[in-house]
Amino acid sequence: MSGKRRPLPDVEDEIVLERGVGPGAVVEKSDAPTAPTAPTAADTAGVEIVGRVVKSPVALDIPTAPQFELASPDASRDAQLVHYENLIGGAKEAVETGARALDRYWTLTAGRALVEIRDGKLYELYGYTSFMDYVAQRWGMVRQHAYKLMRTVRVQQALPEVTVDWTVRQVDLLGSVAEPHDSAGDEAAGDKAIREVWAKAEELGDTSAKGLDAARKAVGGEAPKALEAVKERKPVLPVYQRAVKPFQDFRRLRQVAIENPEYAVELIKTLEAALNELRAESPTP
Amino acid sequence: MPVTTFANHKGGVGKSNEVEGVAAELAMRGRRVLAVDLDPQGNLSRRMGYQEHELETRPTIAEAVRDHTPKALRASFLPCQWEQDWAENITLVPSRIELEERISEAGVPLSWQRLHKCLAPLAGDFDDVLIDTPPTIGHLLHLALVASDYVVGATTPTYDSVRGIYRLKNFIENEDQRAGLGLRCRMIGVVINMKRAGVANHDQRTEALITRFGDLVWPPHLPLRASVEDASERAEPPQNAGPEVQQIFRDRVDRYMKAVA
Ligand SMILES: Nc1ncnc2c1ncn2[C@@H]1O[C@H](COP(=O)(O)OP(=O)(O)O)[C@@H](O)[C@H]1O
Ligand SMILES: [Mg+2]
Repeated sequence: MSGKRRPLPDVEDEIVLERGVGPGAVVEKSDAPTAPTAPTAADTAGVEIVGRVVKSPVALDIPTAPQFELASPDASRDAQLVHYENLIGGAKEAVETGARALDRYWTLTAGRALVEIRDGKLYELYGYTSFMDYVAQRWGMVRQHAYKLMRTVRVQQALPEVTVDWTVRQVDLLGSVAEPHDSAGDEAAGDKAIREVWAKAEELGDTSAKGLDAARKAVGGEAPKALEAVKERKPVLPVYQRAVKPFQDFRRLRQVAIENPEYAVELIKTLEAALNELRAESPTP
Repeated sequence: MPVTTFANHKGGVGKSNEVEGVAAELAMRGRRVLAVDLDPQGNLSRRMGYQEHELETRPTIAEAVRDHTPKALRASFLPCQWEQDWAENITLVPSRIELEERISEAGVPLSWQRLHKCLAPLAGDFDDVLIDTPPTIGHLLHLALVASDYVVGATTPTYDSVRGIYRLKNFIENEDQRAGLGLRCRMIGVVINMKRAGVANHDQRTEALITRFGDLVWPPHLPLRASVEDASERAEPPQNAGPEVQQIFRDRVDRYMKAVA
């Protein structure tokens, strides 16, 4: 092609356009055409999001219509029972398989995105100073859930062929095995450490969190640190026990709001944030 | 308004290249050409100047066949974007991947007439209609054949590709198919593409084709040339590969004109 492009005719009527093929297809309306421009990266490659190209939502096979059918009226009572129980069994299996697939989909999609946002400190763009604040306020996710997602992603990276339904404690334990290597910037060593513990646990015949912990000891790994490796090792409880005292005197507390309303607003925010944090880490009553 | 389908069940044999070369030469002679891209891959559309994303908000052959009216076909018309001399008389009916969805309509009675219903009322608007087809012998090819007066088989001088031409000819000449689909088309030519000199296999296959099809094989054969591929990469007509290729398409179009006269 050379020189100027020949102009495109206008599309006179609105025409229904089907775009895409298969289950992901959509229906659109034709636009009045705009002058053609050179393709941008986004045109040809989808929307670029922190280093990964997201093209279209993943199509998961989720049945949308019920598959119920009455048993044939002249079937025996035995045959009817078999028929209906097959329906229940099939539906149950579909739901369970679907739930597992969805869980995996959610973890490996959202979890990976969260890891990128955390590592790239992308949450700062919104003005958050802490990743967990961002997760809580932007997505209404309790800290533990976000944490599990990210840990699962980490474990999945090391054990891509394992497709069990991970528990928090399992991924936490395996993730913590990789942590010293990861924070030293050596993810390959982290992968190796996770694989080693997993293999040992399989060998010992117990891959539950307890089994994994035994396997970790058996391969001589370090004791895991608690969730999110608490850096501050000194006990902090006495500090809080002292600090909470004045808060229990409500009359004086209300006086704060009278003395300095702006400070009171600040204090409310701080307390609310503290409440959320505390709840997220506490066992649900 | 002769309507001609260019086909081979085998892919990558130069069907689209042939449509481009013939369209360019016809247009150069002042004939008004309608080039129909009936391949969901949209190679012809891309090579005539339209990337898939540019067609996102425009109707294409997929909508035209769905609605099967000349109006719907007209709504998809686009100017060919080659250099003026080649492109001036060429109108493109572009294609996108959504054309695949039409295949699911294959079982609908008379659905195979849908392209014909778009094209027939346009007689008089164009001097030649050239249909580029996908490498299939299924519904999309049926759409093209039902709409066509003539068929040109495009092939490389290799075993599988030549077999594709035999199959095409058998299909077109099969009485049941002709009656069932209501075919009126006949084969007017076989073009040999990407021939390499001094390759024994290529010479044998060429001989076999001439033995079987005789006069239907249009000389001269188009040799394998990097410049042809370059032209298609740059979305230019194959004629931009140089005088040799230009002459080949002049000769081929002479044969075409005789056949459709
Ligand atoms: N004579 C030739 N020499 C070199 N490359 C060619 C020649 N003819 C076609 N090609 C290239 O081969 C590829 C396939 O040709 P194409 O026309 O797209 O075949 P089809 O439409 O049958 O799939 C294209 O990249 C095209 O540019
Ligand atoms: Mg092609």
